Amino acid sequence: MTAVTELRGVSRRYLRGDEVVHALRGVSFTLSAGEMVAVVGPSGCGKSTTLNLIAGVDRPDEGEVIVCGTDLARAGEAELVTARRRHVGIVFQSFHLMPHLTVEENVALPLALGGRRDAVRVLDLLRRVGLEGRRGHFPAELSGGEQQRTAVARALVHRPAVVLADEPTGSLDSASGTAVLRLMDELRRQEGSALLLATHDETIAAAADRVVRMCDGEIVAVL
Amino acid sequence: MLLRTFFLRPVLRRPLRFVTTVIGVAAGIAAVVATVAASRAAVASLREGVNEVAGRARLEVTAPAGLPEELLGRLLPLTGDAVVVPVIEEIALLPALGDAVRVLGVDLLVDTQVRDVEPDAAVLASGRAANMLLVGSGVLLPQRLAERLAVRPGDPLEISIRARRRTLTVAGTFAPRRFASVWDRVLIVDIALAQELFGKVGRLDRIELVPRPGITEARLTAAARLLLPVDVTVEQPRARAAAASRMVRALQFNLTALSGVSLFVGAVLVATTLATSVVQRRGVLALARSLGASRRQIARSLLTEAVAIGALGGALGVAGGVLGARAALTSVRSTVAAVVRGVPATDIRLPLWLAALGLLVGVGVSVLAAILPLAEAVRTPPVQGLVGERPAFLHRPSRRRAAAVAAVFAVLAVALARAPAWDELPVAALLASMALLGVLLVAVSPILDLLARGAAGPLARAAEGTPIRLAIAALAAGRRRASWGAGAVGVAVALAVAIGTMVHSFRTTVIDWANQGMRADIWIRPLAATTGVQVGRLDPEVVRVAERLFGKDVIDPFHTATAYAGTQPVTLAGGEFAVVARRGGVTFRDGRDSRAVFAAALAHRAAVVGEPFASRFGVCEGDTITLHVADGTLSRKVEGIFYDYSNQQGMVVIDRNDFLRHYPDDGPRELALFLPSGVDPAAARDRLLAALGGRFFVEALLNRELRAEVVAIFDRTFAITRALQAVAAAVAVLAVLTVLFALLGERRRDLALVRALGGTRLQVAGVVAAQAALLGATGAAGGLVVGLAIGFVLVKVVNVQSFGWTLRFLPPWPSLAVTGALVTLACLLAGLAPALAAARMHPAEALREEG
Amino acid sequence: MLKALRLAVLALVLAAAGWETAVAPPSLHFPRDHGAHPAFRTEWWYMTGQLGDSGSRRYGFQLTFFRQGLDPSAPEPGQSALRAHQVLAAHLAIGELGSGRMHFAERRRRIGGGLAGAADDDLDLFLEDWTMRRTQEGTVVIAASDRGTATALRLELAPAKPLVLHGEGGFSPKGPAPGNASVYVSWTRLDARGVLALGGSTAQVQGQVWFDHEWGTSQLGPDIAGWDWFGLRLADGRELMLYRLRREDGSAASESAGTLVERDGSSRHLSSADLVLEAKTWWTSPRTGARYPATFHVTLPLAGLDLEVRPQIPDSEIDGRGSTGTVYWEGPVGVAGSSTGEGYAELTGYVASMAGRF
Repeated sequence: MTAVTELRGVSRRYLRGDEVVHALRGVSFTLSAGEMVAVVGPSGCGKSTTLNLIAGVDRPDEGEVIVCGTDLARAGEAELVTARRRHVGIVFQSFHLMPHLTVEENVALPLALGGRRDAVRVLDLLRRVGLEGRRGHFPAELSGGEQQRTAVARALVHRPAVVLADEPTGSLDSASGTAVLRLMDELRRQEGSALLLATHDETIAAAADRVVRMCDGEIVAVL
Repeated sequence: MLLRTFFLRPVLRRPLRFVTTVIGVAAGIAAVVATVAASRAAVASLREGVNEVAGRARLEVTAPAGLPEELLGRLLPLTGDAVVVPVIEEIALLPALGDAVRVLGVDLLVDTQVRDVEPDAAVLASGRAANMLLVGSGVLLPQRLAERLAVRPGDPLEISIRARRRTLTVAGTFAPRRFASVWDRVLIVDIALAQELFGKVGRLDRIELVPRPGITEARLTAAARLLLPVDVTVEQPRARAAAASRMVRALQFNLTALSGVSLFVGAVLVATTLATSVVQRRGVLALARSLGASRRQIARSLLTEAVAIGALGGALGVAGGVLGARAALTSVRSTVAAVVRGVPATDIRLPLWLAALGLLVGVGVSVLAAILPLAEAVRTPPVQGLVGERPAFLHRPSRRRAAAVAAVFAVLAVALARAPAWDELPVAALLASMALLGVLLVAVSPILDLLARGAAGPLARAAEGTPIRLAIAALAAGRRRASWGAGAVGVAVALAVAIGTMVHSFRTTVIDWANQGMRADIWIRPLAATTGVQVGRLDPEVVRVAERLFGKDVIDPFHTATAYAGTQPVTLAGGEFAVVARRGGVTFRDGRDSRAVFAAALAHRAAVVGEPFASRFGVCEGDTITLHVADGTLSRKVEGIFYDYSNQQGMVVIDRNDFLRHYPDDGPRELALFLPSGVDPAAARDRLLAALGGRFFVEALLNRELRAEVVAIFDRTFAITRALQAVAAAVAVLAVLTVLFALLGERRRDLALVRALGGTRLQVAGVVAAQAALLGATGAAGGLVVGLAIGFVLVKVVNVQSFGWTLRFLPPWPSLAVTGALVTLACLLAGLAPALAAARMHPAEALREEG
Repeated sequence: MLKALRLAVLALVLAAAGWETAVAPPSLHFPRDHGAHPAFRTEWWYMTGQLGDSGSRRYGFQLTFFRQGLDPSAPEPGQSALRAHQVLAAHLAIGELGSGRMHFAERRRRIGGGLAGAADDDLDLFLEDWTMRRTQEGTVVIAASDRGTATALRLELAPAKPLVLHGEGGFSPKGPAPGNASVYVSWTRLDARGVLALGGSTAQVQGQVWFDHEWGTSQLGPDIAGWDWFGLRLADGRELMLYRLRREDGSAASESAGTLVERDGSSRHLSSADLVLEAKTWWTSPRTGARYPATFHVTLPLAGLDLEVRPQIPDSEIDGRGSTGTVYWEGPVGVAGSSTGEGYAELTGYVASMAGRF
């Protein structure tokens, strides 16, 4: 199986106040096409940083972050933009929908940013996440579960190789959380995307093909 | 799609912020357009007036005290090459209109070839009209004026010339072919009638030369010079117009500079709004970037927003400016008229370039203001926006660096304030004021920081201080936006304080000057137009009547004429030194008693000069000055230099008998009457007016009335200044509102948290209101300090450089204190709306929804 | 400005109060009476003639000074010397006989102020730089030029015959009422030589010229609409002046008259009964639309004359609205028939009636 994402000896440090925080220390791992991997660990262990690096919204201080053949650590701004637009879809814990756009427009946004339009695809996804009837609503008018399903549709609309999900159920009650997770897994299987899921919930992690366990910015185990 | 996503949609969903910003830009632009349009209209009409009235005349023959009409005959050899046209151009008062009019005396038999004015059909058909004009006392009126006065051909028309009541006959009307406004206040009479009306029999104001086909100006000038005496000038009418506009140039410059300051306040507001709007949306922008939006896409949509704000604001501002200009024109018009003694037109025209400039400045200011926040938005890595970290913690702004920049600005300000005038204009001094505003803007941020840190410790311990502590923390957290807001408030306050200080210093100085210098009991002068413009002179007979009633030794007739110091026109005046030497008059700079100075001047046949003259030509007591006067040159020793706030082109006063040796007695401009003690001035005035018996349109003012009028004229002149102050204040309040709403948006979660943790609505509202008040207080304090500094520059540097007036520096302390308090209060009130919004917020909702 | 005055100034509809009128044969003294008569309201000095250069070019010209009184009263103390009691206007028209083009220029100024004047003791007129002056030697010098039309004329004129007093010793009645008359004198033949400039070229010219001097106050009868005037120099050495005063209805008034000057200078008054004047062809102005008679048939049985008078420049309409306020036809004519000759014709009142104007 081909690797859609590979991290090689990645480190990332932040300055928080006057104190240096080591978010990642020499992390390496591979994500293959179509595979579901769960990253688990306590708060602050480096899960989110890992996802941000793969999403191309943050850069490592050391190491390589290769997404679909591009090393994002060394990529130029244009390549970063392309990586974000083409290869990666993101689902955030707190949904992060555009408040002033409708459900349909939110889903279409990744396409639109690249200058593309595909109303059929957007509608199809909306139908599949069960929000066809709410496509004209604004995010504030939706429940948490509905917002996150919108976010799932948005993450998949441009057929990314990798879907990143950072605690996607963290802001949801367990029933809607389970529903969103099931939906996300189902859809990404149909689309053939790999899923990298950050969570601290062991039961969610159990559904993954592999589980990467992190602590203090290091991978402590791969199961 | 992208425009819709990042620009249109937010505007439509939350229009208020956008509208506020647009209004902010519009207010700034409107202030500039209004002052520029009004002052230009006044000045341009002056220039156009000269050119249009000069018609096709390409050359003018003039001399300082007019020309003898015999010169017409001397030009006979030139008549094949040019049409030779005698002209008298004078001012008269039209009582029915309550305003001054220009009376143009021309040779009606040949003027066809000179001016573009079309008489109506009735005049064309009537030989009687021609007879009336040429051998009677017929006058031609502009159509619009005739309609306004409801007069028709054959009706009498009363005018006041040299305060004497004269009745003319309306011979007909004319319609100017272009520039109707120039001709709006022009009466046309035959040259002979003009000579008789204005006591200029045998004399002409100028002779115009219209070259016939194939004759060049140069050839005509050379030919005319050969035929004319050497002391006669042959020049283009443009030169006369240029001299007039030179006189009002300083005034125009200061007005424009002043309006530039309000644009500056507008720019600060726009920057504030754009910065806050970008920061407010940093989450959205970061999200867009994480979804694949490029920097260019983000930048483009933000710039589009800025351009839209600028263009809309600019357009609104231009429109508002034109309306404002109409209101301002009255003030500017009377000021200009007072300076050049002309009758400026009444119309505001909006030149295309000014409209375009307004738009351009609006867009430019918005785009410039957007660049800083834009750079921040584009530079920020998306992850930081997503994580929701506070921008203030991204990189700690260096207080040291801010202090250094502020210090550089301050040094620059001092250096500029000490620089000399540039081409007689206080350019450097006004730049110094700008630098001082720069100090304010740069220093506000560290001051807020200090305030936050300093206040946080002690206040934290006081339980009641919770809202204040939170407010300070919030301000410190959103310091960048807060400092913009405080900066906008500060600039507005500084402007208000500076203008207030200048006006107060000026006003107090002038009132003191009037109280000390105006010692006569009664002033008599020609009836003034409702605009306050004095029209013409007093008939010499008025002087004779007054002399008969009160005796020669209590009367001080004051004559004026234009003389030249080199090529610069100055006012040469004649006063009755013998009378003033007994009764006292103006205040002298060196502190000597005015009686002693005048006595000495009378004894030595010396002159006294006004301060503007002294500073313009670098003259000191004891120097000898030489002026070009009607009949040659006049050299006099300067006995004293007196304070003079009535005149900026410079005045030289000699004894009246001395004056009348050089100029014919055309009557004085005014006449002062010193009554013996015990005589009731009001009764004396009644006696005088009774003796003049309705034959003259004069005004007789008692001492206190004249002083009240001085103040009234002063206030009218500064009306436009005060209006600008108001615009600045309005812009400042808008700035506070915008900033507070932005800060509120940013602190929503914190505030919701306060509620969730058990804070009451009142406490939350308190946090926001306290924030507003702090912002206002900081801005007000900074503005007060900087405003006083700018005020000092205005009073001590700008005034001296542009008018040559020495003023005392007198800040209006009580009203400054009130201003500071009011601004803080206004900010507090401005904070009420967002405070209410904060109080109404549902904690759960705010906590749940993020980004 | 003020077209008003163009039309009106010299055409004032005023009561004649204050002005002197011609009521009886005057006692004339020359050269004094060559000068202006400011007590009368209207006065003119006309020079019309035909000139030729050394080649074949021929020209017709008129230079006329008109004086119009506006106010007969004496100046009051304190009054401006520039008061327009008297106004002087002048017309300069030069026509090319070959091309048929007429070049016209006009001037107008008040008398006083040094830019226009009319002496009252001899012929001495100046209106700006246009002049008409009698010299010590008894000749007359005229000079006028205009940059707008690029024309200039300077001639010295020597009377070839003595002065002719028209009517009864110069008294020329023009209407039924006393005072409807003018004083009218002429040099019917002057030898002219001088310089004429037209369109950039200057030529030495010579020829023969007619001079009229006429003054009065309300000389025209109330119903007179205009006149047709001729001054003809016949090849046989005689001159013929005749005018027909036209009523509003087009008929000739009985005061129409003329003068026949013999070779020796003796003259004979002609009354309306002595002559027949008949328009044969007409010409319509493209500018004003006015219809002027063009060719005339003149019969004067008592002198054995049967003449056809033909215009040499058909469009000789003069638009003097910028100075005198009148539009009229004035141009060179040729004479054929029982005698040949040349001269000038003046046709007035075809655009607007002259009634009450002079």
